[in-house]
Amino acid sequence: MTLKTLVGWLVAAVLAFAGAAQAQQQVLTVITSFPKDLTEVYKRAFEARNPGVRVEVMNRGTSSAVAYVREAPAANKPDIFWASAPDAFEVLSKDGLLQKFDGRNPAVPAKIGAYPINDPEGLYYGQALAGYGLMWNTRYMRANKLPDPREWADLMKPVYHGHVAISSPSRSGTTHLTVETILQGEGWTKGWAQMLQISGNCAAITERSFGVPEGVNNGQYGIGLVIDFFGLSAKASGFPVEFHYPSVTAIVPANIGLIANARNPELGKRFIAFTLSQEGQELLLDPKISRLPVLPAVYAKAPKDFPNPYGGKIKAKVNFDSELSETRYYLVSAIFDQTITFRHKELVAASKAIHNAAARLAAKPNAQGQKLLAEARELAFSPVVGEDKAKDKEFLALFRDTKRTAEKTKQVTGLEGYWNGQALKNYTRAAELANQAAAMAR
Amino acid sequence: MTKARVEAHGIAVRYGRTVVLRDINLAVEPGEFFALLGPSGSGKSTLLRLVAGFVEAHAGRLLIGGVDVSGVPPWRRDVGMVFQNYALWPHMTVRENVAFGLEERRLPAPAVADKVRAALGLVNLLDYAERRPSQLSGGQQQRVALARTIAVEPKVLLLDEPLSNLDAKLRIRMREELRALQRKLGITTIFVTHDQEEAMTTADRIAVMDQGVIQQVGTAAQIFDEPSNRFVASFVGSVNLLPADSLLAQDLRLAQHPRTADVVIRPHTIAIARAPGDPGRRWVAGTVADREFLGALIRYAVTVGESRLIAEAPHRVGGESHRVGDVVYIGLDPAQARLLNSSVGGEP
Amino acid sequence: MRGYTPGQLAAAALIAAFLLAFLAVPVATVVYVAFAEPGGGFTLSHFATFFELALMRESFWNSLYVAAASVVFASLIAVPLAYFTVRFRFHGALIIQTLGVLPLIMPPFVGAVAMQLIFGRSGSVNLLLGEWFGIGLPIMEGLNGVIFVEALHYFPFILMNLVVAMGNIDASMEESAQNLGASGWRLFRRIVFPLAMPGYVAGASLVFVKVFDDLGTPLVLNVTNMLAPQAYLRITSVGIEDPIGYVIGVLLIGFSLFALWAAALALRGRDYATLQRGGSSLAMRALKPWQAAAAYAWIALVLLLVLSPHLGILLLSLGTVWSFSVVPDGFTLQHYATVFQDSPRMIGNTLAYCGLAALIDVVLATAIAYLILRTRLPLRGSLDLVASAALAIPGVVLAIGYLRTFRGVEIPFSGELVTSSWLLIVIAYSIRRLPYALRSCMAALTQLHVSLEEAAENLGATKRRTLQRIVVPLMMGGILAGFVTSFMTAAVELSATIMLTTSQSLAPMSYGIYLYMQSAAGRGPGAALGVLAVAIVALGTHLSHRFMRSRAVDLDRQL
Repeated sequence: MTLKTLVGWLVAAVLAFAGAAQAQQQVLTVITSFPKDLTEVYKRAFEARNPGVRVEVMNRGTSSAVAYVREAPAANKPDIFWASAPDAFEVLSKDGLLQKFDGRNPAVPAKIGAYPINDPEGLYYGQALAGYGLMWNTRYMRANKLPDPREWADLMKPVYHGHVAISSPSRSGTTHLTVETILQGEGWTKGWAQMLQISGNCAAITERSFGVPEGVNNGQYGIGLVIDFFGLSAKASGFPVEFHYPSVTAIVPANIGLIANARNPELGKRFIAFTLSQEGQELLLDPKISRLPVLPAVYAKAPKDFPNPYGGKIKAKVNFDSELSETRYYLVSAIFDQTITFRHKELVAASKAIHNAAARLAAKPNAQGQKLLAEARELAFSPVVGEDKAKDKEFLALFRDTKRTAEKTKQVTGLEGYWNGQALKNYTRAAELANQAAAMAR
Repeated sequence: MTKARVEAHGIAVRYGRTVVLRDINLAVEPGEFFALLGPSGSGKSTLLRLVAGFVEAHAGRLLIGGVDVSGVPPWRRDVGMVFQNYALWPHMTVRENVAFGLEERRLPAPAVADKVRAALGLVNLLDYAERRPSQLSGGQQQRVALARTIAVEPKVLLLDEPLSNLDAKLRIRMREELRALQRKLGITTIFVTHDQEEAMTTADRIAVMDQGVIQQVGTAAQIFDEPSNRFVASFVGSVNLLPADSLLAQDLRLAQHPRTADVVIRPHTIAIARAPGDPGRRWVAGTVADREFLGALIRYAVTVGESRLIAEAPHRVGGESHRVGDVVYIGLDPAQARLLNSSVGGEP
Repeated sequence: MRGYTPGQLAAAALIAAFLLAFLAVPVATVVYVAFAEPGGGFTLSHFATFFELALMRESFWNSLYVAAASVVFASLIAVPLAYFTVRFRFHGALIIQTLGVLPLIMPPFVGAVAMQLIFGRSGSVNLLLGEWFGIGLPIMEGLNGVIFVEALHYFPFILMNLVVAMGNIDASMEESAQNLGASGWRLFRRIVFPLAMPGYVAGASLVFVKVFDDLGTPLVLNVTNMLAPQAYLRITSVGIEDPIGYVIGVLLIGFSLFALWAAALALRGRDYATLQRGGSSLAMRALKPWQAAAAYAWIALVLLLVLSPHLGILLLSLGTVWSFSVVPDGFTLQHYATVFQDSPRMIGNTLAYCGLAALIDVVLATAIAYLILRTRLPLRGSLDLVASAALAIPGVVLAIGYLRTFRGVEIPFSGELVTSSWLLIVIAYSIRRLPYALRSCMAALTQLHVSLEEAAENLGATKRRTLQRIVVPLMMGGILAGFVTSFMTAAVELSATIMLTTSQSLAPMSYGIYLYMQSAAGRGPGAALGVLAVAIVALGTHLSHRFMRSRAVDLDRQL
């Protein structure tokens, strides 16, 4: 008898459940990389204004979301794609996966700095703005007696060794953007030098982009390279953290677009319009979300210290070139992984040795030592691929195609293996040289 | 209750390569209390389970009440079986256990209640109807199992070693009750046992089995007095077996006895004395090799020439008693000797 | 004699079809794709590519290393505890039993976040150590963190198996060795442990497989350079066509099967349950005072470690802000309020999915157990084998198999994709939990003497009626225990869930916790949801023990 009643109860529950799911007529499917904090707020607001509509949110990392949209059969595509990384939208639009329509909010400016907010072809619209910056844990900094950083370049300083965290461009679209920003801002060679030095000071190259803000929140790491809203929302939620935009930063839009062959295009357009409206934009000011609206009028309602990209206070030196970013996307990821992520231990050791040697030589200068040290720096902090090679179209194409033939794959893995080996050699040698240099400071 | 006849014609049963029952031919008369007697592995339980329908013969036919039941599943055979471990269902009360078969036959509730009451009354367990099997003693459990089977008034009653799990005193009492009940109900009953005393005291007829073959069928007296082969002779009661070629056998043989037959003499028919007595007996000398005091009788092992005979003498206070090593005389009564062919096979 | 009825044959066919469609075919698909040339044809090139990629080699090595290290640490914890329980007369036995249950109610990925806060770089422990001794322990760095969390979670498998195995050793084994001069460590090493080895191997191999296949814990700890996370990442970001993901799947299955097979091999012919009838097991000794102190100290340490994720998650769920401090700044109930506001649907989802899956499991398990133990259906042994093989299939791989096999398949009459619905989630849960339910049901049915069924048939009940009135009621203890086990383990499953849950409204609690943990403000609610999940599991474990105990008593009185 127990089993029968149990069965009956379960079946009834399941049916009621499934029934409830069918009850509402219209379902809007949104695929997004945004966290639950944000999607919950928008979902509730939109459903409140549109009775009879249910918003289905699919959470995916950016690249997974792109893959999902690409692979979903024509009759079952989600309606809306909403993500931070502009390159995802580049990829989608190139593959014809987005639908063109006029959903512009005229109150939204055409550009932020020199960067267009909306897609010129009307395939997607900027919904929020994001910059990249430094986030640090005040308690950690105090406990370790670290000064607050102001620029990326500050993170190269010896005092920050072992206290920084960054993710990898291959694992995190936003980190890729950060790295690309630095490369575009400082140039290929100098940019890589910076990246390498910063990474040498890193305690970890985290496996997910969220690992960085999470680590800083927890107090695991002192400073992290993050998108602004991570820092702003954490601070607004009461965590002991601070956020600051360095001058070498870019403000780029986070976009929203209607997917081609969406099942509910009209509903989708309404949703997009909502997110771009005054009401929808104000939702971004929620402390848990803390993103920069595209609608300038909204900033009047923002809390006191809330950054305003239209106010000229954020000095974004870099005009982000997403075309350029797209052409060398995989190359940048591959170089970073092979020379930094996988060789992190050795890079850190080399960095430490170099810092040590520099300190000792500063106290007791020695010409020979300085020469060795300079050599060490050269070895450790130069990119494996030269600037010219990085511009070679054929070379770049090798890394572009995701569906590679066995031949190409062999080439690529061959190169990657070579870089990996080079990096190992270089860092080991650099450490040796640095130690020699330090020994000379007597 | 209907009295059905149970017949087996040329039944053979095989498990894989092993032959478990071989050419079984048997007829149990309606209302008869029939015993299958044999050591473990003789196939007696298999034969019982065959009648119940849990075992299929690969040759031969089984008829119950004149109807060929080969292929009929157990739940349609209308034979009642009491299992060795009683198989009472622990999650049901005594009443529910007994009602089971009636419910399966879709009888209306009042009829079920009546029959359950009647069955429990027959075994004197009405007061225990609401108990669970775990709350009953072994004997009570057995009676519930019996009541459960009787309640459905089957054509045949099958009992699988029903008394072997009971202690000695209870066993004796239960077998009397069983017999009484069977006589009252008049139902054809087949029961399986390895205990020859049980078989002999309760059954109308006995089939002695060994290694899948029926060795002999007959009444207790027939089997005891006229065993058809060596096996039956030694399995039922104790026996002295004198091989055909032994001196003593030849000695005992009268003119008309064939020379190839073995001679069997039961120990209790052998007299033992210090000197030859009754002239009707053949007296031979021997030495007492061993002596066992059994209360009502004394068992002597006496060496006579190459043979060793067992003699059982009744014991009375002040009567004759011999010690190990004594020289004594064994008195054999030819009328009590039986002849056997040398072959092991028997006939029904 | 045929040995089975048409009804039974039909049942077997249905079960076989279910197992085929939802276990054999998806797994075969994964294996096929790993070895298939895009245009058809056999190739090893994908494997070659796999081994050429540095990240893949690293992941492979890391997975093996982490699994092996977890076994080592779990053994370090479990073996002394087992020894204490079996060897010594002392009151801590109850605590040890509790220790054997506590870790299992806290799914590792739930506790992992809390462990970061307690044992991480700037976690409670390291802050205190830094203050007092100026040192830091890299307990939660990278792979260490995974090993630590997994070992703490899985050591009960070894503990329980070892206690049972040691308990089965007859005292005479030991006494004869003592009679010949052995004692102390030598006695343990040469006699006691070898005799208990089968139990140890059984537990250790299970731990190895489960750690090797785990997706949730590494993911939550941000460790992606291991096989299972790599499979997940590649399939979801590179695409369902990516052959590397399938290669990883084959490796995962291969090693899991290998570990289980090796364990079975080690155990074959070595059933050392030597306990004689009427014999007693190893003699219990009294502890000398210093020995008792040491034992209690060890137990206290382990208890503290074991409780840390529970404590941590509780603190996190109640804490306002916990950053770079030993304990949270303040306490609040807001997170629970958030959870109850936002997530009743998730809780409902978990109950529905897991309930349905557990129901499917007990029905299948009862049927399979009956077919195996009560009929002579040809090939019934293979039903058992296939159903039990599900143990070796990691959740990630099964999910990949489903996504690939059922790609584009629509549910009739609804236009919904099967891969986007909750159906596959339920089926994945039921397939992977089937071995546990099967074991419960087999045990229950084995204890049921066949004469109980024959008596019913004799009295006129057909096989079906007998099943209904006799077999199932008497198996109920095992069935319920199987139901609860299925339910509980499905409720905290993350590996397959992550891959098969497409949208938030379909999400069960485990996925919900994972989602919450993706943002700073979500940690508190995520922890609160985690506490709820643990509560459910704890309740289930308790119920399961009650069921098994009460029914076992009934059955004991059968004969």
